[in-house]
Amino acid sequence: MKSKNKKKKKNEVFYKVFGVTFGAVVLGLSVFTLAYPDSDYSSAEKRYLAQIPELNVDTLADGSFMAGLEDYEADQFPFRAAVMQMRAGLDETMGKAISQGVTRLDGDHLAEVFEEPSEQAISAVVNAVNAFSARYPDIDMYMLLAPNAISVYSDKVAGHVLTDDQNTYIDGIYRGVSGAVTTIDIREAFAANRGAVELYYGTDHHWTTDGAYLAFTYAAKPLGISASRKYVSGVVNNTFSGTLTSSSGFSVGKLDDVKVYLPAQELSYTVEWGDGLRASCYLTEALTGDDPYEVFFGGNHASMVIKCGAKTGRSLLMFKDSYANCFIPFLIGEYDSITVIDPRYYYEDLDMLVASSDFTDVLFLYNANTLSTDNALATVLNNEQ
Amino acid sequence: MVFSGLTFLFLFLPVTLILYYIVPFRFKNAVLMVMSLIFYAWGEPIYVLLMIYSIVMNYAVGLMMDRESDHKKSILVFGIVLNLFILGFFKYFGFLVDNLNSLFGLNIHAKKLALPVGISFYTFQALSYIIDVYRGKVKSQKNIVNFATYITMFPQLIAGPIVRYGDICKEFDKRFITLYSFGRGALRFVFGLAKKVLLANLLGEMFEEIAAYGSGVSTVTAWLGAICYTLQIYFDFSGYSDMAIGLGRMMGFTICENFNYPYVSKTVTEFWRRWHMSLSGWFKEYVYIPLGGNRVSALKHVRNILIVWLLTGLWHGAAWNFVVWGLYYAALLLLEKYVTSKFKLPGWLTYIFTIVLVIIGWVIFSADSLGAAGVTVASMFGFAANGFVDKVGVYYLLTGGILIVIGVFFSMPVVGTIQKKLKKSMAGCTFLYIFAMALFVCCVIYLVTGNYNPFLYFRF
Repeated sequence: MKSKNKKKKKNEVFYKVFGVTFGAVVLGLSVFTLAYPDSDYSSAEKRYLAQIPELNVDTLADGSFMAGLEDYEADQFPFRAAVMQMRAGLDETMGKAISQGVTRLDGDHLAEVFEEPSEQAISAVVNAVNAFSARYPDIDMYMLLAPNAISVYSDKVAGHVLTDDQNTYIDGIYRGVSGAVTTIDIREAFAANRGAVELYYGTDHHWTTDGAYLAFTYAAKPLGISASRKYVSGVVNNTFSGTLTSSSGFSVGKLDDVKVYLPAQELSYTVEWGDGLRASCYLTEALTGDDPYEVFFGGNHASMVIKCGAKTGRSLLMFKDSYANCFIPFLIGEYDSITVIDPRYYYEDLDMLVASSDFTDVLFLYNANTLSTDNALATVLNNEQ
Repeated sequence: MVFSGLTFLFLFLPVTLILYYIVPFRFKNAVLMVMSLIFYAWGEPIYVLLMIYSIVMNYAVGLMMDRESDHKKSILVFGIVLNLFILGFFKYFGFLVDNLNSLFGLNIHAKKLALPVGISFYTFQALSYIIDVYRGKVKSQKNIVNFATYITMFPQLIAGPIVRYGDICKEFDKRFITLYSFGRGALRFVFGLAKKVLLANLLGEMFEEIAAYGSGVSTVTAWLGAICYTLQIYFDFSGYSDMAIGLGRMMGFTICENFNYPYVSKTVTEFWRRWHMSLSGWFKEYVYIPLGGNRVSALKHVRNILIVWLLTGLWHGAAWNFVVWGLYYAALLLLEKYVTSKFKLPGWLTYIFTIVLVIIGWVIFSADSLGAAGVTVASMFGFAANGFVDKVGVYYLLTGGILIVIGVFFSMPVVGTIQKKLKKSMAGCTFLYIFAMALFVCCVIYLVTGNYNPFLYFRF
């Protein structure tokens, strides 16, 4: 009887202590959440955070106030960034290998998984490129399809991770485009240098400037340009945390360095995008911002024109994604002018542009992941706006 | 509103509990009623009026049966018809019209009404009340606040358990609210929340991902998907019940148990004694036994089983796969009663049979269509489009294996045994305390960051 009482008592103390703790934690967190200052933007997630929803009869009746409040509570939760990291850590401990299409190569490097597009999607791109090159037989056409980290470092991807073979895809595109388009295959060069050069950012889906430079030195010969210009390279930002960490939540051991290569001998040119004419392709303000990769041309623009008094007699038209942003600087000085189109944002009449210009060369520069999910290139090439 | 949300945990719950504890006892029911109405209106700002109507109507029916004892039966019939009409109109009308259209080639346009959340739960509670008043099992509730509190009580309002009036009516007048019961309730709530947020949501996410592959799966993948759903629905549903019971206890109410480790059942009959006990109990009390139960001829017994299980199926949603799911269980129960009970099979074998049949049941239950359910079941038994095992199967086995193992472990009664043992020693209590608080922290982490947090009972 005595021991039973004692047991009950132990139990009772346990429940009481737990009750007090639970009450204190819930109440404490409630007050703390309310008192914690709200923020507009999360640089870790690269998105705007939900704010207190508007309260009125309509938002109450359709429930949007209630839904908005739940989003607000989650987005404005104290130390959200740290909570996100804990979440990803828990997920990985439980065996999660892919988060938002991102997987881990090693402690410092993340990579996007690759999903082979449908055959129709592949032939849509191939057909558009072929039709465009057939329309302009006098212009030399080149295509550089960059592999992504997931395929260059495929041996580092855990065996069970669901990802398709990017080589099959790149081979398929290269085989599909007509002989009039010179394909530039940098995969061997990347495979040979993957140990010596940090080709891709660990936290971001882009290639590094070193990677882009390697690609350039390899591409110069088929493009018929010189790669002899000397550059001085330097780190301009060493706290780059890119889109792979922000979208997956996976944490990495170290942040990335962003490098730029400046010509050893000054090169004079103008860059025009949006409404401004500039003397540099680098936007230094971006280095202190959220995405230092935007130091290259300030990010993506529908079109840009780079003019350089090089007197090479060549004028380049480029169709590209964001991989090109850190690649283009190496082309400056090799062409009199470079017109850069990012088809994802381009809504002009392409044939009119070609007719009114005197392009001698066209370069398609994409990374495999972007091209595989893109339909803007075909739309622009087919002039379907 | 749902329990597994930040608004509930860090806004509604603290405000409700503080108000509830500071007011004198005679106002506690009123506070609970008002907060419950807000809780319901949070998710159903319009349909809360329907619930209020249902409360007033059933309250009046209860009172009138007392006053007009000569017309007791007709008042009851009126009450039942009205309740079933509301339920039928909001839940089954669209389904009925669809079937009439396809059956007779008609083209009746019915505006598809959104199903009021929890309508099946609170209508069944109201029915149990008026029937029990009619039977003289309980006295009618004179105080409309108490009655409204019974119907709306937010812990069990939207996902059960279906509390019978007689089980709880005394507590409206007298109940004990102590720190001890608060602590017990809080612990139960945390365990329920963890079941929902840490197990059910993650298993559900995996199930959804696998389901997206449709028929292009291997046998292993199909099994993984089916097992994920089997565990998901258990942890989701029993987690909600745990949270309900815990919240009830925190406020001094004793809400009935709803699950008793159903996945250890050795027969389908046993499974239904352990699964959603408040619903099977309700059907037994108000449909099966009034029809004569099993104390009738075999033919009538078959009829009774069919009726009860057709209704049980339909209760879960207005769609054919729920009907088939219900009748599937009717067939299994009859088979058990009249055929397999004649054979003596070893326990482990009947256990395997039962769990496989239950898993197949969940495939029927969760599928978008009967055809899809058929394809999944065929895939599970060797007729899979992608062979025995494929890359997808390996991936989910390796990335979700730990979760499934944890899920299986926590669906076993040994968890209850361990918990009891732990509570006997100081060290055990300390461990349990740390474990529960860690679970709560993990729940908050997942709620803050999580994207997959479904409410499975919107069709119930």
